[in-house]
Amino acid sequence: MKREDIKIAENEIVSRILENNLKNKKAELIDVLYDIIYNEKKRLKTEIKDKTYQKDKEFFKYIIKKSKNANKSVQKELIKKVTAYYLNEVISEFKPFIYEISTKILPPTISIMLNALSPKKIIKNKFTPPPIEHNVIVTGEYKKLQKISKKGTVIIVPTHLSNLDSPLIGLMIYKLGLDPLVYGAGLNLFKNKFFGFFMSKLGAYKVDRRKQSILYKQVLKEYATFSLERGYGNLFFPGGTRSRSGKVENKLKKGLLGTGLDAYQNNLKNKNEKPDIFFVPLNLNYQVVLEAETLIDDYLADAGKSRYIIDDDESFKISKIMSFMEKMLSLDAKIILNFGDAIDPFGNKVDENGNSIDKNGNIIDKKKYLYENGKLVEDSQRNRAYTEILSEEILKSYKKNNVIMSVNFVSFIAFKLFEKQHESSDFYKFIKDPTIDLSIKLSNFYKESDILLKKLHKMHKNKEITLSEILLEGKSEEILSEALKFSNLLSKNLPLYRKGIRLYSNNLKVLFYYHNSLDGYKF
Amino acid sequence: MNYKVGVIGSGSWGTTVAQLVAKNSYEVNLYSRDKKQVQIINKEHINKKYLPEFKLSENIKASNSLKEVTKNSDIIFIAVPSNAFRSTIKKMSNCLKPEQILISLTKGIEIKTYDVMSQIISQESCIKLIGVLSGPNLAKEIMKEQPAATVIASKFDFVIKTVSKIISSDKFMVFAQRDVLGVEVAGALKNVIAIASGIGDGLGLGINATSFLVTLGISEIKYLALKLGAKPETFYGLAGTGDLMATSFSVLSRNFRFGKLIGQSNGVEEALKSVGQVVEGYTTTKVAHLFAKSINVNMPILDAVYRILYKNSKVDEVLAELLKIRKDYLWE
Repeated sequence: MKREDIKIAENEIVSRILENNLKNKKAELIDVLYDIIYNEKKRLKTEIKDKTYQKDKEFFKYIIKKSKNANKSVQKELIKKVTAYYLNEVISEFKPFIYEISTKILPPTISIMLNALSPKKIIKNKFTPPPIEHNVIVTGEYKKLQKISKKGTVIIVPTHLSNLDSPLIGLMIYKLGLDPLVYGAGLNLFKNKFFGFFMSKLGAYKVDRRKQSILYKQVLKEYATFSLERGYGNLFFPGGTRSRSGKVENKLKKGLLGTGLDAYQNNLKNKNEKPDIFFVPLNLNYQVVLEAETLIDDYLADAGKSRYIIDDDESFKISKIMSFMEKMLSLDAKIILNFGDAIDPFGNKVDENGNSIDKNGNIIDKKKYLYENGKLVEDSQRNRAYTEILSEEILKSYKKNNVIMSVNFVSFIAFKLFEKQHESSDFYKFIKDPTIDLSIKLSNFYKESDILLKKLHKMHKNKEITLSEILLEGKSEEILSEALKFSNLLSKNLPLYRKGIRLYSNNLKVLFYYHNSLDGYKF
Repeated sequence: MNYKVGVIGSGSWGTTVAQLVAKNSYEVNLYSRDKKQVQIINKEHINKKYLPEFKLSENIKASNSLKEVTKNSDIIFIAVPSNAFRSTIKKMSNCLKPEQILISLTKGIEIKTYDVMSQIISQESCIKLIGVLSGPNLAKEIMKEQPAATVIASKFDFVIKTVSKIISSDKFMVFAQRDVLGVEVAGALKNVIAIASGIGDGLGLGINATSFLVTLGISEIKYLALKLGAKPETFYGLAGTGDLMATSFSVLSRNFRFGKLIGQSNGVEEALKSVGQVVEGYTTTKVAHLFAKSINVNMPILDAVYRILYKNSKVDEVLAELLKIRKDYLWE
C-alpha cells in the first residue's frame, strides 16, 4: 500500500476491528483478550529467543497485566493496542519506485531475476538465457483480466505448488501491464534473502502463521478488505499453503476469500465509484517443481509428524534455486500460468465489461444479492453462504484449467502400473519401501498411455481438463521421451528411467507426487 | 413484509403448498400449463383434477403465464416433475432476479448428470437464494389440516426464516436444515423403497416381509445417499426416515400405490396410468440403478425393483430370489 493509504489504513482498521468485536454477540471483549493471551503465551514458549521475541514478550506481559480486572473502557483500549501492534508487523510499505526498478531489471529472464540480487554475478557469468516468454507461458483468459482490471478491483486466486509461485505471478502481472498486487506472504519467506527482496518490493505484507489468536486473523482479513476498497488488486492463495501432495486444491479457506464480498459490500455502502470486485482463478503448472521432494515427504510422513510450516526446503537455498533454474532453462522445462474465467463474489461469470452475467448472457444486477426488501442489508451468515458458492466455482475452475504436462502424464501411468504390480501390499509400505522391485515393460506402458491419452483428449475437448501442447499433438513415444528428459531434474534418485525395453523407478514418492496432478478425475 | 408468492406446477403438492401459504394471508400466483384448470381454479376455487374434495383459498390466483408468475413473485416454489425441472428453470431464467428466493418441492435426481433440483437451479439461473422443502407430507392429510412437520433446507438462514414465516402454522411445523443435498438425495431415493414396499403389500406378503424389504432397502439407499454427498444425520431426520415411513406404508403415497398395483400383477404402463400423477420413484429407480452400477456396488432391493420396472422381470420370480429361504443364517 502507498504511504498515504497506510496512514488511513491504521486508523480505519483499528476502529473497524473494535467495532466488529463490540457487535459480536458470541464473544465479549474480554474473551477476545483471553484468546490473545492464551495463544501468545503458547506461541512465545516455542519461539526463537531473538530481538522480536523480547519485544513481543514485553508487550504481551503488559497486556496481561492490564487485562486483570480491566473494565470495559480499558478492555477497549487494550484491543486497540494489540490490533495496532499486529498491524504494524503486517503492513509493509509499498514503494512504487523500487517496484519499477526491480521489475524492469528482472525481465527478460528468470535467471536474471535471480541474479538481480547481485548485479555483479550477471557480468561474471555472462550467461544470456533465452527470453522469459519461452519458458513461462501465460495462457487462458488473461486478456479479460487486463480489461476488467480497469473496471474494478481484481483478486487473483491461484493454485499453490511452490514458493516460486508468488514472485512469478508478480512478474507476470507486471508483464501484462497490470498494477502490482497486494498479498500476504509467510514471515518465513521474508527471512529468506531471495524471497524477502521480492516480497516487500512486490506489495507483500507479512503473515505469521504461528500467530493463532482470533484478533490476529481479524487484522489480516481487515487489511485485505481495506486494501481492496482502496482499489489495490490482491493475490490470495485460497488453498492456504503449498499443495503437499501435488494434487490440485479440493478445499479452500473461506475466511480470506470472504473479504472480497466484504469489500464489495463496503464499497456499495460508501458509494465507491468503482465498487466491483472480481476473482480470477489461476492454475500454476510446472513441468518440474523445485520443492517436490520435501513436500511429498511431508505429505507421506506419519500422522502428526507432518509440518504446517516448512522453512528449510529447496526453495530456501539460493544456490538451489539458481541451479534449478539454470537446468530448467537449458532443458526447456515450461511453467504455465493458465488464467481462468473471471467470477464475481457470488460465483457468477463476469464478461469483458465487468458485468456479471447468467448462463444466457443476461446481465445480473448483482448488488441485489445483498438486498432485503429493497435495501442493502448486512448479514454475515448470508455472506458466508455466498462465499461457499464462490469457493465451489473456483474449485471447478481449478479442475478444468489444470494443465497436464508430460511429466504428470507419464508419472500417472507408470505409478498406476507399479501399484498394480504390488496390489496386495499396504500403500504406505509400498511407497516408502526402497527395496521394492519396480520395473514395467515399455509395451505395457505404451498400451496404457494410448488409452489414457484418448480419454484425456475427449476431456480436453469437453473442457474438463487442459492438456499441454505435447499431450495434444504428440504420440505416446514422444511424450515419454520428453518426460524422461526431466527425470534427473526431478530428483537425484531417478523417479523413472528406461533401460532396454523396460522402465524402472528408484523414487516412487516423487513419481507419486507428479502422478497426483491427475488425481480426482474420473477416467 | 407482504411477500408475493408464486407456485410453479398445479399438481397435488404444488396446490397444497399454495394453500398453506394462502391460508397465512399471502397472495399466491399458481402457475398451471392447463388453461382450463386455470379457469376452474379462479372461478370455482377448486383443483378438480388432483384435489377435487377441497376448497382452495381465495388468495390463490391461477395463471397460465409462466413468465408473469416468475416476474411477479418474491418467493417461488417449484413443483414440476424432475424430468421437466431443467427445462422449466431454463424457461424461467430470463425473468429471474438475484433477490428472488426459489424453493424446490420436487424430489428427484436427474438422469445422466445425477444432479438434484437445487443444483439444476444454480446451474441454469442467477438464483443463489435456494431452498428445498421436504418431509413426510402427504398432500391430502395436509389439505385436511391434519398436523404435519416438514424440513426447509438452505445454505441461507434468510431463506429458512422467510419460508418458515410464510408457510408454518399451528398445524404445519417447520424444521431447519443446512444439508440441502442430503435432504434432496434422501427424499428422492426413498421413493424406490416405497415402490418396493408397495409391491410387497400388493403381493400380500404381510407386514413382516414388507418391513424386511424396507429395512434392507434403507441400508442400500443410505449407502448411495452418502456417496452422493448427503450427511448421515440428515438421512435419519424428517426428510429421510420420516418421509420414508410416510411413503412406504400409506396408500396416499403415489409411489406406494404404484408398487402395490404392480404387486397386484398390473403391468408397469397400466400402473403408471392408473396412479394418474407423476411417480417420481419410477425414474429415480433407473437413476439409482445406473449410479450404483457406476460405483460398482451390488444392491439387491434396488436391483429387484429395477428389473421389475424396466426389464419385464416377473414379480414373483424376482421376489422369490430375493427372499430365498436359506438353511443357514446371514449376519445383519
